[in-house]
Amino acid sequence: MARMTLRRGLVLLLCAVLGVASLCACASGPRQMQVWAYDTLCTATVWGGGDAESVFVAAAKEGETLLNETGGKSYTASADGESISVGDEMARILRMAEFLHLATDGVFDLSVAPLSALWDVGHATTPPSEDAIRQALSLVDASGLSLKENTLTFRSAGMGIDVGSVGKGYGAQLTAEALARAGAEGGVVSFGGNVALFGTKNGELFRIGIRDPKGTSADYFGILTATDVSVVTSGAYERYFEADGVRYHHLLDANTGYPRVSDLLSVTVVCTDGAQADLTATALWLLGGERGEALFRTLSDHPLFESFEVVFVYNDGTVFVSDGLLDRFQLTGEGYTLREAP
Amino acid sequence: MRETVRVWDLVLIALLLAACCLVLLLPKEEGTLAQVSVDGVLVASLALDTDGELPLSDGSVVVVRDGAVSLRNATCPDRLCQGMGPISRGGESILCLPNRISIVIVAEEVDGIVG
Repeated sequence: MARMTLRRGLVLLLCAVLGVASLCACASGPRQMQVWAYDTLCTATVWGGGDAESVFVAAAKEGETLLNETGGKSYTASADGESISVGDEMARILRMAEFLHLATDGVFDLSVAPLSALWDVGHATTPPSEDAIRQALSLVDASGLSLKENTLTFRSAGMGIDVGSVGKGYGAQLTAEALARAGAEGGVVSFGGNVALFGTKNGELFRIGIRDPKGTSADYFGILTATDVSVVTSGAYERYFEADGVRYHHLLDANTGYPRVSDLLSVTVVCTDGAQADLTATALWLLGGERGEALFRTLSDHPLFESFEVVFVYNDGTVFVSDGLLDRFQLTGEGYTLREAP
Repeated sequence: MRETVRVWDLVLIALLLAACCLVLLLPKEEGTLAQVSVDGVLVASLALDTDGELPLSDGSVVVVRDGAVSLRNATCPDRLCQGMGPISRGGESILCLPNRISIVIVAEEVDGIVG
């Protein structure tokens, strides 16, 4: 009988240990933090030590000064020939954008700001008039921007640049680097869906879902296993409004002034450079599947650009994954098929 | 006599293991949380399995009902946030940009979603 009691005691002890262990496992999970910057919600999930919270907030705010020290995310010239001074990082972004402008025959244009402001997708409920679009288009011309070292000159008054979109990829990356320097083990930084990863979580890589363009913000069609990179996705599903049964999205064609029609649902770029990931995801989406894949190969060998990897989702559900990601990408969504290598 | 005791032992072990498993599973079942923040500061983590209402400082109300959360009585000009709910699945969110209110359902299967 004493043996039975002992056995029961052991079982009880085992259960108690298991129970406590499971509770501890929950208590020592990652820390969640968030702040508003770039007109959107910026979050981080951080594993391990370090004074992550204050580092996170400071770095997120610092990224907002990408364009200029005042923290504005856009700038509009008020006089012909007006110049502003930009930082090294912004100068580098402008050079990449200039190349992408030429490579996309002008469809992608960082000087699209007057047009984006006119459409105001995200707030507007009706499209602007043709006249208004034509007028805004006359102020959109990347060749009217000239960069000499760190001085950016606008050819005419009313021209402008908006780094709101580029800034998020850049900012997320900057914040991830700051958190890593502060001693955190690893983390997932997300600035409005632009993700930057660093380190590991309990020694493992991160699993990042790539949003299903046909689903809600909680749906993903594939999982990427990665760390120490930025992951940025562009697609027309991100921001749009509907008027008279027509859907108008935020990815504008700088040649026509209207939302671009693309055969792609989304383009995801994986790159160690967050700003580049942001810029190229948008430019590749705008260009469309066939030409986008060709430009991807061109950019991979270009000295201005870091090497990077891509995931293209075509309107028919075909998914193109570049070679470097094949063993790190897992397709999970229904209605999508991986394109076989030719 | 000894056999009977052994059977009861097994039953006891099974019961206790079941209890352990329940403890291990509990955080997942209750784990669907809506994190409500205003201006970047977490003001509440609401369990979606408990119906209730949480008034916020700007006058709007976070409503949890039938396992989903939504925002009512929005005080912002565009009221886009009201149309974003109800949400219930990991990764979904309601964002009110003018009033800087965010309601995020904590995701579990992946560490984050890009896009």
